[in-house]
Amino acid sequence: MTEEKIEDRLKRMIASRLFLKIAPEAIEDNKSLMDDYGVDSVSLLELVVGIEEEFGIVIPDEEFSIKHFATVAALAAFVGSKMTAE
Amino acid sequence: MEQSVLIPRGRETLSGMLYQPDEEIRCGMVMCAPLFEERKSSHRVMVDAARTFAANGCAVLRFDYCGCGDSTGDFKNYSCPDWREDITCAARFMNGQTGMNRLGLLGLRLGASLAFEAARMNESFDFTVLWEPIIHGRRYFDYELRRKLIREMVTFGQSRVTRETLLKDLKDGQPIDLDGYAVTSRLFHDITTIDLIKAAAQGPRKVLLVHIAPSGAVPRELSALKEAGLDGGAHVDLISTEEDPFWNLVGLVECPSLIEKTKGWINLLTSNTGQPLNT
Repeated sequence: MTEEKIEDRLKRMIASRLFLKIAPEAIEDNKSLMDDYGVDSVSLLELVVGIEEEFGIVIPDEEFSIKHFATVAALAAFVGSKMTAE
Repeated sequence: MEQSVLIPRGRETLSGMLYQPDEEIRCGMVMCAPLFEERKSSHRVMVDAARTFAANGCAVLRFDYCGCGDSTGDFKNYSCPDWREDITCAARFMNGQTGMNRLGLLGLRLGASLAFEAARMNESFDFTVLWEPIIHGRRYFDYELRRKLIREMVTFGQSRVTRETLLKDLKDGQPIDLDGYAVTSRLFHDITTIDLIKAAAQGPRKVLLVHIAPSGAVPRELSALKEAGLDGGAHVDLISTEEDPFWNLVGLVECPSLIEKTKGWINLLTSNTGQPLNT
């Protein structure tokens, strides 16, 4: 699976799961999820649960780091690395 | 008419808001709020709902549990059985204020689970409305712990604890901080042993279960709760409303469909036929 596909899946999930009023394709890879799209600590939990379900991975507590959740690009790289590891 | 009320409860005092219809009262209802972050996020929708129900002839009492909100007491001294007793105490108070014997309960999330238990232990409650009840406490508590880690991640850049260390603290008798609430080992035990499906055979007799989500099917566990209630001889209706999970969102959220559907069910129940909506 290519990284681009992970990003598309993430955008779709972010838009639907976090009830964002924008189209998935309008989410830009390198824009801040928190500052530009209003993702907060409450919705981040939904995102974590959604990622685990969508990609079949487990995000350990030790890896809850803001750098992984800063942008779609960062998140895609993180999810990709977890998928490879598992 | 709305008025703030103080409800005597042993050594403590519960703080509440009583909403009385301007015209004839057809029934009364005690609203049971959730806890932790969900309590804060859901506050305004609960107020909107109380006002709508009151305008429809249902007197409503909203209140804070012991150790929560404006009520007296230290949160760490209380747990689920105490809050169930708070619900019963609030209902007695409402009965005294309104003279209304036909009383129901409405709860959201953990408040719904507390309402379920309160109604199970006190058959005088006429009906029970459960908005997205916590069916399995263990799963819910794990979710709340993760929420804590994510809040730390957002605040400090990285979570500073793990669920394993938090659970160890609880096991060792040390309270942990969850959204500013000191969760004790006792509360941890009481929450994580919640299993509504197991309890449903002897559960409340007239129940409305409400699934709230913008899309998607009704979760299997909610259907299982309905079936378990029916198997126990209860009248259980299960409906869905396509709205956002307001208890999990920050910001302005309105839930007109949820409130209207609930109002409709109560109307049918308290009408002359006394038969609940069968949806």
